[in-house]
Amino acid sequence: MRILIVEDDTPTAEFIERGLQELGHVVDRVNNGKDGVIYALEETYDLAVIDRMLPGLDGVSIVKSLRGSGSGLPIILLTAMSGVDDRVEGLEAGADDYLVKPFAFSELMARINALARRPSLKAQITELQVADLTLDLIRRTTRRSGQTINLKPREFAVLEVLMRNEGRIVTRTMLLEQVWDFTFLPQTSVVETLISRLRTKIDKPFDTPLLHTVRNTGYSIHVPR
Amino acid sequence: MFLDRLYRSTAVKLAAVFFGFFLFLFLIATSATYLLVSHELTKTVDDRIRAEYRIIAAQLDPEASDDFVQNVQNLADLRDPQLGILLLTNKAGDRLAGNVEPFQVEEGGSTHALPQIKRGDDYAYRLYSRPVGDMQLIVGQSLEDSHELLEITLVNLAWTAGLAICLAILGAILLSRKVQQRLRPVAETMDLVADGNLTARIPRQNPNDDLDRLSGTINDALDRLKLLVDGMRQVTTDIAHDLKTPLNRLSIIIEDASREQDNNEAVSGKLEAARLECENINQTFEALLRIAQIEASAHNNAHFATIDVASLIETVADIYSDVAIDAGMTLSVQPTSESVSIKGDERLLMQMLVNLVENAIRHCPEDTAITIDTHRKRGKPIISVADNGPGIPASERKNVLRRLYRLEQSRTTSGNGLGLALVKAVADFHDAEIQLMDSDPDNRERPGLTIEITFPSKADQQ
Ligand SMILES: Nc1ncnc2c1ncn2[C@@H]1O[C@H](COP(=O)(O)OP(=O)(O)OP(=O)(O)O)[C@@H](O)[C@H]1O
Ligand SMILES: [Mg+2]
Repeated sequence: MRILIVEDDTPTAEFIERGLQELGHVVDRVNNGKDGVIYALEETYDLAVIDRMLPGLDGVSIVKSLRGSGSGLPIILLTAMSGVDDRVEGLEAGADDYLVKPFAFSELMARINALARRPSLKAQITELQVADLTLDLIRRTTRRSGQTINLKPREFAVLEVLMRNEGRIVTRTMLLEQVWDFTFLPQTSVVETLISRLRTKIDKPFDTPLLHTVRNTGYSIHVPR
Repeated sequence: MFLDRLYRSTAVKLAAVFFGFFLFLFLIATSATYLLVSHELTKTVDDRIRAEYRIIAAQLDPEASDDFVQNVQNLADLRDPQLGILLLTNKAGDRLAGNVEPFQVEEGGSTHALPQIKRGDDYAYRLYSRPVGDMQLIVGQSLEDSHELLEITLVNLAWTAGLAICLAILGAILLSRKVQQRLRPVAETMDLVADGNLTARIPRQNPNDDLDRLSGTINDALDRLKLLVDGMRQVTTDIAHDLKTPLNRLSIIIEDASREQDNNEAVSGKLEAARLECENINQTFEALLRIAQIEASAHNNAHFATIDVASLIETVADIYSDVAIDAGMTLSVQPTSESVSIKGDERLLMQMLVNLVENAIRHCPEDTAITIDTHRKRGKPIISVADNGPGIPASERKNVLRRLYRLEQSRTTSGNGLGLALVKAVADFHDAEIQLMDSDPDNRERPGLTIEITFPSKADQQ
């Protein structure tokens, strides 16, 4: 992928750049808002990672001006602030995702991967499938090996997010944001508890486990390799 | 200096305004009085000369007009022309009888200046001229007396006005002096506060007058300011203190790692420990910032919506019931038939409830029963979270709401003492009251903890 980084803090920018390059992505890096807009409009990128606080033009303004000129470039905003309002403001301006600093690289990676897949999702999908596990998004039913599985609404939602990102890591924070609508980290094992319930229902009775835990990061659903 | 202060004094400005108003009214009243008196005086004179005319005219016997002329002449001789005029003329205007030389005058009542008759400087006469038979009778009276009366009235009015003005100015000065005397302690106190002395308070004087009530309000604001500043100092110290521990640990871990690195040992374990330590510090900051943000946006209810409390509670119970079960506890919602709704920020209220439920799960032993409940008391919506765990002693209930404060018994459980501080911030944000109490006061071993959040009633919210 070709990725644009707009970040004025050099260590952070280099940290992201190095990480992405190691994964084989092509990275351009600029350190101010004006260059950010120019690069984003003149070159073709698959994704942009933009800091919220920048000299000159701030992140939210960049997003607004890009969206204003019709650019559909997937954008992840980075910020040191985590207030609910900041998040909402960022997303309302047209950013696709919002990540609070400091973050683990795996968190950024998971979000980049999830975003990169998004365009293909624009086509209406009514069913998701991983191996013999199927999710009917219209009837909200789950089946594995022809057997109907009863899931609670929140379990279904988690499974849906995981299956939409088949083979990729979905972090705990991503799940908390998308399923629970929590923008804070709970002090108890809310996610873990639900995942273990989910596992008992979709994996335990069957031979091959599909739901995998990625240590310190999150979860992923795929056929074991 | 004094004049300058006087000029700027609110009391003087007020006095000036009232004074102007008073003067205006006074002028109107004076003019009215003057016009009225002068009109009354003229009317009295007119009445008199008309009556005289009628009396004289009644004496005319057409058969003996010479007698009549003689009579009039007799009357005229008795009269000083300086005070009154009597004149009888024929149609041609020649004098038949009278005490003055004939002069031209129109029919009926009129006012004339007759300098040819009158000495002194007020020549005005009030005249009444009417025919008597084929003659013309003119009766007149000097207006000097009436004018004198008017003058006396005017002078009187002027004196009264002068006196009133003097009194008003004196009153304004005294009043402003007095007000300044009362305001000086306020100004002095505020100067002290501006210099950083937050303990200065305005001395109270006459209880219950408006200025004293204002002083009371200012003192209350100062109390609150002091509380906030003290709180801020406390928090700063607490944060510094609280962060020193993990930073110390971090520094030790890194030092360890670099020593192991020198010995060519694997350091990935140490690095992971360092990362976790950083994450913990970061979370503390995150929570502190969040609380600060909620406090800073107090009274900004842009995100307020009408929230169905029952469904909010159901959601929380739904999310946490499995977590509670895994911890060996039960989490249930007190059934209610009442529909309770409040105006509020749903995300914040959600986090508030989550913090309360998570506290119960983390600070209570196995087999604890947690209950979430909502109802109305005297019209006020209440949300409460209750458990039958160890509870919080009454003496600590104020403290646990503070940032970074944790009970001794919780040192071993993870957490940073910010959960209840956030609950308090969210409650304040919604003008709600927060109350901590025993769930079962009779149970010494496990009194449990009930936290009740009382929201303002609908009527109070408007
Ligand atoms: N339900 C409860 N039962 C007994 N003690 C409690 C309960 N809830 C809170 N406490 C006590 O009050 C203290 C302060 O609670 P608070 O939620 O502010 O911090 P914390 O839970 O320790 O940490 P954090 O919530 O930030 O993770 C706790 O440390 C605990 O000692
Ligand atoms: Mg807590």
